[in-house]
Amino acid sequence: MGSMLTRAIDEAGFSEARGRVLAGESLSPTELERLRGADLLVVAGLADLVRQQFRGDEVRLIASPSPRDPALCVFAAAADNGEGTGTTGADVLRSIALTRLQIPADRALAVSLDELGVELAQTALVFGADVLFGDLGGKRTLPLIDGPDARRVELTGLIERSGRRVVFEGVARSADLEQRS
Amino acid sequence: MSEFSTIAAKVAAGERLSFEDGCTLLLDHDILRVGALANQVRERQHGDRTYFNVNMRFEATNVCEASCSFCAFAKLKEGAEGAHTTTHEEAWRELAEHPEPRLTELHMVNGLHPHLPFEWYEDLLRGWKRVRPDVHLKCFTAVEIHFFAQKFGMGYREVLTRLKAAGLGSLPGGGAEILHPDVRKRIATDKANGDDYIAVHRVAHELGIKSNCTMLYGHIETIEHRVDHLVRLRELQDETAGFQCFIPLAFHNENNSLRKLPEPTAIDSLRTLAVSRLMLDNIPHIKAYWVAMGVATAQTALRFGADDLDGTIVHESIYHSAGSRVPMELSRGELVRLIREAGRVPVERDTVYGVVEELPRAALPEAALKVKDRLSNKRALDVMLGN
Repeated sequence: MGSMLTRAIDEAGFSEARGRVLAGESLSPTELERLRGADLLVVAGLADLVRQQFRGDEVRLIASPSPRDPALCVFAAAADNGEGTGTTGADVLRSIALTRLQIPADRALAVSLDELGVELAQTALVFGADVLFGDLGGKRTLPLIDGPDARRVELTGLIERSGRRVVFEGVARSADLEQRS
Repeated sequence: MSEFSTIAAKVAAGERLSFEDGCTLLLDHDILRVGALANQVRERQHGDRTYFNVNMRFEATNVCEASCSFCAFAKLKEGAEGAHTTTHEEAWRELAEHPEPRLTELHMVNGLHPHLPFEWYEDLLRGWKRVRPDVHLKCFTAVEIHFFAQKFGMGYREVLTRLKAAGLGSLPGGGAEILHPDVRKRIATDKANGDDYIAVHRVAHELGIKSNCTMLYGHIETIEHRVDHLVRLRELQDETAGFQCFIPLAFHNENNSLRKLPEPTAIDSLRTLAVSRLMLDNIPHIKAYWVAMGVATAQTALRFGADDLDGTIVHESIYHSAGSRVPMELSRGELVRLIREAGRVPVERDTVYGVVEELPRAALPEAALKVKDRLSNKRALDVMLGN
């Protein structure tokens, strides 16, 4: 995280909050209330600080999260494609970042590829998420690399282009994909 | 000082960024800090004001003698499956019967039709002006203007002067693709080259015709090609100040010859838009074109340097032919909501950025209210945490 964004967080009046989340402490109800109306990038910046410090650069890709996994928090919200009066992309991203700031710092935060769509799910990785789950073998694959690993190769590229490392968990991979990683 | 810090210091001092600075920023993995830097410039220029318009798209013909490898819209011949050329009457009726009384702009882009006479286009514009004289006609890319000049043996100045006399208001920015010849010769060989694109806009600006400019990114080009493209546009803007807006256009890979390439990701789109804001210090507006970026990414881009969401559109074929899954239309109310939920102030504009109506800011960002409802519900959080 650049010092510029840190400065922006501090200038927005969240320096104490920054110190607290980096110490793994909870935010006060007042701070959370203020963050709900704060600049989206400030909220993202705080969430990303927590993610970096406690979760690192690893992004886990799993087919399906276990509802009983105590180390995992699953974010659930449907993105709106502008057709109705539901949530918008900015709304979803703010919710993800605020969730990151409310759950225990060492807990993974998972978002659904199928619910959010690939674009918003990738963006969520800089708003505090560190686990993607969903259909890893489905549609929208690249014709050149069609086959059982196509979707996974595509997702690997997508995550690596966000500057993060990919770990497939509980998903069998072919020798070809092993070689790529 | 790190390279990023050096660049941030230049931005803070209002200094121009170099080609190398642009490359550094496009390679920076920390998208949040690049976005924050672009957001700083955007807010310095426009505060929270975010523009949109009530417009309609129109494609009079998709018959096109060019064969650009990224294009899924064009049909090479009249009579080919899916080929369509409108009649004047159809075109005029579509505008006359447009249901939105607040409509201020008609945006038209066409294929390079091998047989339509120049007068056909002039009559088309004149007819539109007869039925809706109040609607601004933003028509013909620089590639079309170049095509007309070659086909009908005229200079750019004559083509543009005649179209202006027929009702042309301004030029859209399409057709720029990537201006560097190394890329252009591989994806768009048989139409205006990069120098032609610049030359058409230069003449348009000299004639008092404002225009937009674009960049099609995320296909075979390198980071250096993207920055070179931005620098070329910036140099022309230094000369003419005629560009109103820059629109980065994300490559889509369906139904075209480049279908084996992956599309740019949302993060790449946000980074490209942010760097565009930082490099193009003399172009007033940066547009997050929701048809190309997707609605959610375009809305997010309003915090990464963009100050414009484009308009209602109504019907769009070029991106939808290439696999865009966004809706064909966003209502005015929907655009206002998207802008407000990004914490910005919606400003309805006309094509040349005259203010039609500045709408009030949401008392508290609507998104924040919803998030509050959702997250203050302890039970919901407990469920998410598995408690």
